[in-house]
Amino acid sequence: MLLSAASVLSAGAQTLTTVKSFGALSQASGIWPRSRLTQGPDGTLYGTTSGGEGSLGGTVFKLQPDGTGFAVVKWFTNSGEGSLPYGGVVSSGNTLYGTTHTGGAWTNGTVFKVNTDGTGFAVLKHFTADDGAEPTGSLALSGGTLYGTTSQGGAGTVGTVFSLNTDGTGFALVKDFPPDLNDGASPVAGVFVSGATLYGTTSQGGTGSAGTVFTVNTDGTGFAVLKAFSGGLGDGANPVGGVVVSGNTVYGTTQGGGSGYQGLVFQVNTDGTGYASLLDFGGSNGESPAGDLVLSGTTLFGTTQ
Amino acid sequence: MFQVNTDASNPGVVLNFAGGPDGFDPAAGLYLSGNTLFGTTLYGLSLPTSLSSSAEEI
Repeated sequence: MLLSAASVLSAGAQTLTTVKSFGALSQASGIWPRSRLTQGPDGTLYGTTSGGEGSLGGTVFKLQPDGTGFAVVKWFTNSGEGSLPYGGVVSSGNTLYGTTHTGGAWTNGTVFKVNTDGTGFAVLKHFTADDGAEPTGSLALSGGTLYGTTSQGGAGTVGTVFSLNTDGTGFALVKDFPPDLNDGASPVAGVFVSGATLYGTTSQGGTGSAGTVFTVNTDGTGFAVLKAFSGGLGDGANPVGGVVVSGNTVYGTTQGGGSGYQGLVFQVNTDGTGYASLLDFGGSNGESPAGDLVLSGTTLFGTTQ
Repeated sequence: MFQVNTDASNPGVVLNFAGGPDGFDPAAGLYLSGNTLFGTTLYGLSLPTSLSSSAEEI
C-alpha cells in the first residue's frame, strides 16, 4: 500500500513546474494540500496541508514562488487548538488567518491566527456546533473583519456564514441556513466580498435540491438565492468551489450536472438574472471542477479533479 | 486546468496532470500572481506507508 503526497505547482505559458513536493522531507511538512494558496506582500506564498505524517493534523506552510524557502509556519499537533485546516489562509501584514475543519474546544473546528514567522498562534474562535461546525472553505478578509462559512452546524445544523473581527471579537452569524434546506445547505467554499455584500455557494439544498448561489449583506440582511441548481442535463449541481464577482456578474463552477454530467462553469448576474453555462465538462476537458475560479482580464481559470 | 472566456469563447485545457511528480487531483483553486498561476495538487509522489519524521525522498 502506498500513500500519496502532493505538490505545489506554478503554470505560466502552459509550462508546469513543480516547486515543492510534500511528504518527502526530512521533517514533517504535512500532506494533502487542498486549499488555495495566498501571497504575502513580500511575495511569499502561504498555504495549508489538510493532513500530516503520523498523527500530525495538518500544517500552515510558506515557500517562495521559485520553490525555495519552504518552512512550516504551524504544525497542528494539539487537537484542542484545531486540526485539519481544509481551507487556506488569508494574510494581512505579517499575520495569517485560517480555519481548521475539526478540533478546538468543542471539536467542531476553529478560526486561528498565526504570524508568518510562526509566532503568535491563537485560536480566535472555537465553534460550538450551535454557532457553526466544520469550516471547510477559506476565509475572506475585508478591513478588520474575517468572513467565512461552516459546512455544518448552526441552529439549522446545515451550515452558516459568519463574521469575526481579526482580534477575535464580534463573532456573528451572517446567515444561519434553515433546516428546510430551501436557502441552501452545507456551504463548503468560502465567500467573495464585494463592498458590503457577500457571495457564495451551498453544495446542497435549495429548491432544486442540488445547491445554490447566494448573496447576503455583511450585516445579515438581504439574503437571496441567485440560483438554485437542480442538476441533470440542463443544469449544474452541487457547487463546491467559491465564486468570483466582476461587475454585476458572478462566476463559479458546479461539480456535477451539465450536458456531460461532470459539472460546468456558470455565470449569473448579481440580481439573479442571466444564468448561463459557459463551459460544460465531461470527457477530455476535465471532470468535476472543485476549486475557486480565478479571473484574469476576461478569462476564467480553474481546475478539475 | 482549464480556461474559458467570460463570453464562453476560447474554452480549453491549459494543463493536463500526468500524476507522479507532476501531481494529480488539483482540488483547490488557483492563485494568480502576475501572469503566473499557482496551485496545489492533493496527490502525487508515491511514498512508503509508514511516513515518519525521518521519511526520505524516494
